[in-house]
Amino acid sequence: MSAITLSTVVADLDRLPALPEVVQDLLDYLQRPDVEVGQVAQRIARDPALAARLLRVANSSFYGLQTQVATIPDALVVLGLRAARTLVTGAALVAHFQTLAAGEEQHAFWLHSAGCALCARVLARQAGVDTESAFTAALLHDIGRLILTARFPLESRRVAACRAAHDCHPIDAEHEVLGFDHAQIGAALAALWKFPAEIAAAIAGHHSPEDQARDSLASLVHVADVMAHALEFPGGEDDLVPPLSTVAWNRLGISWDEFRRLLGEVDAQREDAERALS
Amino acid sequence: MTAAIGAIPLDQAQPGMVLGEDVTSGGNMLLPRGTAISAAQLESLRRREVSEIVVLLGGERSAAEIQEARETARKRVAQLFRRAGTEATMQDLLRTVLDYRLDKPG
Repeated sequence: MSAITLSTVVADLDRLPALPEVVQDLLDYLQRPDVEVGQVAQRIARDPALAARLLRVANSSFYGLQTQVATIPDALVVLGLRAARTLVTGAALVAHFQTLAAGEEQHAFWLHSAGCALCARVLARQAGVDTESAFTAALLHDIGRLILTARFPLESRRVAACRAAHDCHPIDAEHEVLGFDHAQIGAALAALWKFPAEIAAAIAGHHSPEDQARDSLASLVHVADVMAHALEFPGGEDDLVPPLSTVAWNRLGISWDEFRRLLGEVDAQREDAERALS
Repeated sequence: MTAAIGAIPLDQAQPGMVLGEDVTSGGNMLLPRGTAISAAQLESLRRREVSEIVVLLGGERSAAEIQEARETARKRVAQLFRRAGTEATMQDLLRTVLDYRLDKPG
């Protein structure tokens, strides 16, 4: 049995580098019901690195904007505040987590996350669900795994060795070695850092969508995760398509013919996913 | 030897055909010359209302090459789904992904 428990990992979350004050302030502000474009732009402008990153991602085809934008207020207007909210959340958190752990294995992690986000967006559009929330939830769905790798590298390597020895699904290796999994770690982080509730539910439930509410984003992110693996995000010899939940699949109400078309649509955006990470 | 090129209507284009000229739209390059176009790229050109493209004539891959690409795709999908089990939804997914991969060039 493992020397660490879920409580060990959760207690350690407090020692993660804190989100930059500007980002935390922005996330808090964006949760208000009466958000104003001017206020958001002003907050973003306080962090030039965040501002630059936002403009870059807003202008990349990864985010699917039709128009080039030059200023933060323009970006917010063109995107719409609701979309901007999830874009800001996603971009700020990804930027933060990329400083937490770097290296070759992290590239595979982010490639899967970006691929999953692209899958979530096309699935959401097809299913008539808000595309930007789906996109951001998918971008962050495996964040618990990143925390495990960054903060508990020894245990993370034992999980990887167990997965390789049994050629099993990574989450089964986590249960075997640790007795808990990355979805639980992600859920704890989402609660601690007060992620929007719909995104927190998707992170917590993407491997057990049956246990989440019918209209939860967990089902959509679950299917997006499976779809991303089927499209080889990240790919490689070890890659394995996770079991697709019948309950989650039926909730989306998408036909297999439509799904096949969506596979082609995401495949055509593959380079966007790679570029968005550079 | 330079391969002959010819313009064909987009709805006659097949996955695997090789572009003889860049495909552009409104001054933007969409796909460069030499691209072996996939079904997804064809779909994307259709959405952008491209009406015809210039392809290499006789530039399609040989039957043997296509057969080999299909065999590679089949093996790759089998590898990705090696833990799929027999559950019906997962089998539907496997079939859909395999159909998609067999149809796509390269």
